[in-house]
Amino acid sequence: MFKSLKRKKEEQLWENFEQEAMPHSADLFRVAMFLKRNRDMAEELVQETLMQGLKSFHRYTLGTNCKAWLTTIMYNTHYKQIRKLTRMQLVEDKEELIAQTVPFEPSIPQNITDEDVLQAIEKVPLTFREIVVLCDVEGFSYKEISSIMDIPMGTVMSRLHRGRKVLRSELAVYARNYGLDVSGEDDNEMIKKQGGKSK
Amino acid sequence: MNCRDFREIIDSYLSDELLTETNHDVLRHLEDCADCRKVIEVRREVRSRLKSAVINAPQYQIGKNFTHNLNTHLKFEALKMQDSETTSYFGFGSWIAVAAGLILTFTLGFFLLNSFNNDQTAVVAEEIYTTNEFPENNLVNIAFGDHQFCAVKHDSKASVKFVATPAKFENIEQIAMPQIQNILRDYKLKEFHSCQYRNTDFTHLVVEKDNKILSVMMTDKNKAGKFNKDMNFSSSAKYQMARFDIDNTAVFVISDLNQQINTQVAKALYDPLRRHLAGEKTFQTAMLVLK
Repeated sequence: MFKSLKRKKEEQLWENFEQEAMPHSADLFRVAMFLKRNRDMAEELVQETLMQGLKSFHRYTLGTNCKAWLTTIMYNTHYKQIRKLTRMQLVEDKEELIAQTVPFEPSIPQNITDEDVLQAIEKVPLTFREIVVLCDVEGFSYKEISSIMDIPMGTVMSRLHRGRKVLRSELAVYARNYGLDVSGEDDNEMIKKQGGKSK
Repeated sequence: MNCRDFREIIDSYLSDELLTETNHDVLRHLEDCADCRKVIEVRREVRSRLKSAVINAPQYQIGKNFTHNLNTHLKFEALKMQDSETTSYFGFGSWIAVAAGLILTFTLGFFLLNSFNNDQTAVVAEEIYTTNEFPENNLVNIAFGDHQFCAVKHDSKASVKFVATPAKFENIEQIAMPQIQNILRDYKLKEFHSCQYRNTDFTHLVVEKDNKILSVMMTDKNKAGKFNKDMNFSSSAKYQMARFDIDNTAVFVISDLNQQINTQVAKALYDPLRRHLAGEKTFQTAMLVLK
């Protein structure tokens, strides 16, 4: 009887985990690829994340946002790996420096390819890129991203704003390469032209 | 709200992150401002294009093999974890269990230890596959072919040659036989050798009773040869196969017994072979059974 109860409990844990967590493995892999830039390392990170998730699954409340919970674990694991590699050396936060070089914000013509979009997102500095991906690709809310990355919500918002700006700007470069006219479509220019339209 | 304010919060609006009141301000501004309507459409389009580009890009797709292996690995871990949790519960959570454990330790120490060492209940996740789904079909095909042409030794066309037994597999029959005979009492060791089939070395243990044969085949899965696809499982449909891996060694148990008994033999072999091949290191594996 004990054996069958034990077996039932074993199966229950796996069934719950399989049902709640495993469907997110493809999403986790996408995020891992953006973090690691290498398939093998991304797979390793996904495996480690799900392994940690499995071990801590008793802390997860069934029916809540499992994807956000697992992504938080993934980021913690990733940060741990980085800390291990860099032996706790603090690196200079280049965010402000990058922000100063963010160009103007043109709008984007429609007929650019997926390949152009992918190349453009690759050119967004990592600090901004990962947040743009978490928000615009993976669909996390600002609050969830703040929790996942363990940074204040204001930082999430400002990085998102800057990241998207860089992305639009990069996309505009591709548009120009196709000979598409993007002149005069810069938000800032438009605002200047309108003299800051008020309602 | 002016256009500058609007452009600052437009992304938050699209992410549905604004307060209801601010949402109303945005909508009111959009009603009056054609330029901002254009801008919001562009930003919506950039998001949508980014999402679809990333989701559809091959480089961001998770691999099927990786997913399968991940699933198997985690399932196995889940079962192992529950095992240790149960042990922990009885060891620390229950005074009765602790007392019983102490009494047993002091009175039956030797027998208890002996019993533990012979524990064959290593948790093995079990997955059932059809022939077409069996992972690493290539190696499985070779093992199947080797079982037929080498163990049975009835087919003179077989291109099997004998090779030296790798050191790690030496005397492994002494480990395996007691386990096999616990289940198949009257089966006797027919032969134990190492052979090469389709450029793949196998260490091959064969037990037999009344012309019924069970093969245990061990090979380094990283050194498997290539298999000609014109030969497939269809010719071997009458056999049962179970497989587990210990580090780089793939172990196949193939027989013409029923699936349940064939799997039972494989399970009984798993823990003793693991201890022999890998010391006391723990490897995660799963039992893969052919349907």
